[in-house]
Amino acid sequence: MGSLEPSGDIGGVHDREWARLGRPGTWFTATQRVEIAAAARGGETTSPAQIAARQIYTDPAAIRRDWLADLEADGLTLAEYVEVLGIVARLRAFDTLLFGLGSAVRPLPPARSEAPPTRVRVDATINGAWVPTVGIAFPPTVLSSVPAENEAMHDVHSVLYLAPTPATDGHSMGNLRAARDGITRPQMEFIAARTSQLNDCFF
Amino acid sequence: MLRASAEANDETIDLRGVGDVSVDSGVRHGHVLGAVVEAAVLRDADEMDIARERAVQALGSAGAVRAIAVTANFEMMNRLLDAVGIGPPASRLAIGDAIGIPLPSRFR
Repeated sequence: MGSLEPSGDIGGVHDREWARLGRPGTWFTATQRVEIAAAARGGETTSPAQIAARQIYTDPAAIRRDWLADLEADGLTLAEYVEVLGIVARLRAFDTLLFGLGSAVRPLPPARSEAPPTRVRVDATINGAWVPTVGIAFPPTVLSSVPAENEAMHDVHSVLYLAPTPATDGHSMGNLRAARDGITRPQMEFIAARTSQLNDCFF
Repeated sequence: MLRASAEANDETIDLRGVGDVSVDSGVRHGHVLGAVVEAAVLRDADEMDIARERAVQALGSAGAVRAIAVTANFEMMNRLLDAVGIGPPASRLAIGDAIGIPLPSRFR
């Protein structure tokens, strides 16, 4: 059979993500962000950020603290690592989405600006993860030391799955009876558990 | 969350079905959903075509798209957690044994 078409909200968040990818980030320029995404997909990996991108995309379960320490020694800051992580984790989500739908991989966007990164700093501390977070480290705060990346993750999460915070349409994680497009919450959680098992993610 | 959501929806599930495909999880269309996830995560194009078609038959086109979207979301979340060293909370360590997926020693 042929490919499936994503619904309007899913197509919309994919477009937003591609727009974000092509803009300057917090610690990387637009060109660098696109290069990080390209490295994740198998392109050139000459910088620590690009090396991190490839590992996060292909085999995140093999990542250990010592490996991250080596990247830091090679010049990658933890704040930069968090931005790489945000870029690559969302890229993987959308690449999986299109693969599942039976569509061709979407070409990366061009860098749309050569403006410098915003370099926004927030108060974050090591609190349960290898990277600083605002508050205790758990899924909603993993990227919180780089707010733009955290907001982007919440945007994607809310559309593909459920919103981490209460939502007027009932599509929120707090609603254990939520359903979307006929998929019930237990079915969503079965998908989540099976995906995590295949990825060797034990959270 | 699987167990909690099943209880909230008055459904009976067998958590072993998450890690062992020979066990019926009790989740409605669980085998169809599991095939979608496996093909998508493992990037098996042939199996994906089959799984997608079966998902459309069982869940409708919108449901199949949503199942794939949820899979995609957890591809993202798995990376966010593993890349920063966030493992399971101590309170959940026993669940790994219950569902037939023993946790690696680094989490114990």
